[in-house]
Amino acid sequence: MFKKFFKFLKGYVIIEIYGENAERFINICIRRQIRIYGTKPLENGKIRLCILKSDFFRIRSVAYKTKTSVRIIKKCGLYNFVTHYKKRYMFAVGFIVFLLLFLITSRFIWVVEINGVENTNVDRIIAVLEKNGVKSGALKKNLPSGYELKRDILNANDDIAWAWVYIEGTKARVEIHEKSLPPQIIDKSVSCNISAQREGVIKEIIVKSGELLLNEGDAVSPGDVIISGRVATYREGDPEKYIYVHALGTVLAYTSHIAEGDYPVYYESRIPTGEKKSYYALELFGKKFDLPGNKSISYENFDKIEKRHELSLPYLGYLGISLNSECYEEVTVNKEPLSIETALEIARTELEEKISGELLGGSKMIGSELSYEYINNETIHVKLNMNFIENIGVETLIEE
Amino acid sequence: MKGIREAVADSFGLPKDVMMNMPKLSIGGNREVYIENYKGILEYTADEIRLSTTIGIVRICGKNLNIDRIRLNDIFISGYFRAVEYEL
Repeated sequence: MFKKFFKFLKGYVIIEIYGENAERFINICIRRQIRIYGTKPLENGKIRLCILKSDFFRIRSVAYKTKTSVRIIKKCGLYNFVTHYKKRYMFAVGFIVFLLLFLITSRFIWVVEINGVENTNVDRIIAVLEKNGVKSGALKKNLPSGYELKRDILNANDDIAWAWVYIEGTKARVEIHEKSLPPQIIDKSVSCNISAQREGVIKEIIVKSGELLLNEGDAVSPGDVIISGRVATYREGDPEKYIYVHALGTVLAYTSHIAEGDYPVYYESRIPTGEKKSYYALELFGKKFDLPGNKSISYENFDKIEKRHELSLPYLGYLGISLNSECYEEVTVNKEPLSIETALEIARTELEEKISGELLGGSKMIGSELSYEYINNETIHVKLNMNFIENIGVETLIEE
Repeated sequence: MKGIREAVADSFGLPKDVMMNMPKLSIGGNREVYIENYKGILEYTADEIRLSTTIGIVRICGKNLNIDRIRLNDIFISGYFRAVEYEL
């Protein structure tokens, strides 16, 4: 690549030589240290080759000596390029305008990208960024420092652990790292009860502090107080007197979780037919412009593939111009029958995943039951009942 | 009958391409030939290249033959070769 570039800088000539002693012409050139490259034999004994512009006048004597005819095919190089375009003023004006536009537009932020947000309110982050001037169309040099932006984002959002704004060309990439919040623990000095978090039948209770209200084998509903923080300290017949403590204890209970859903007893295979339509949109500095084309999709079944090609340069990064493409691929959908065992296995995996999201920490499965019934020939209704031993006790404040 | 240079090369175990200026051919499959110590090009077409060397003529036959690089002492030829022959 560098060789080609230097040749372009120096300038070279593509010539065709023909005559009886064309080979001798090459031999003499090599002996006289005239650099020859890109040789290609043509028909009728002609040979095409490249020589440097500075060597061109040295081949005159060689051509005379070997009685070879030389024809210039093309002059290449920077000098020729400049001479060729010297009189095309509008080209030069266009080039300068382009360069100016490029230089001006690359000084602005055109796209703000926020990554790493899952639970935090994005609008609040956007509001903080906009308040600090990080928005589409903002001048890069007016932006506050990364530390200021980080401080403001962290101050406005309690659930963000770290944030940083990276300026990549005309794009501001905001990286957010959310906090993984620890479970809310009530202060030990505050009196509280241990209540049931969910429905179940109590298996075992270990009381460390507080007064036990229920026994093993009792059924509980969510919110039922199991260990009370209000402890009676009077004898029968005496006036009522209570002390309030921070109830502590473990409540293990048998719980039941049910998940259900409709599942097909066939497998849909989507085979591309080879027909596809693509639509393009040009995104210039945050604004989308649809490129001409009929956007109607006549396919009955299709897969949509979206792609984004960003124009970026090394060191300058994203230039604010991107080409977005939407490709619609026609597919034929074939329904392949599934055995009931396979369909149930798929359903079990999905339902177990659904139930696992509801479980409390340290749960232990003690049994499960899967039942199904046909809704029609193609669909079954599957019900999964799973039984666990869970620690359902949770600290709740005492209601006066 | 061995020449003096060849005899010296044999006696001292020296490479003959250095001592006798013999051509040295490096052939890469049927696509590349690199020849050192050639004297000049005798014929250059797309089907045949003939080179003059100290031991005679080296003839390369094939199709789409091309001289990629040429210098005073070495030459690099590419294309699809059918034969590399010596015309001694």
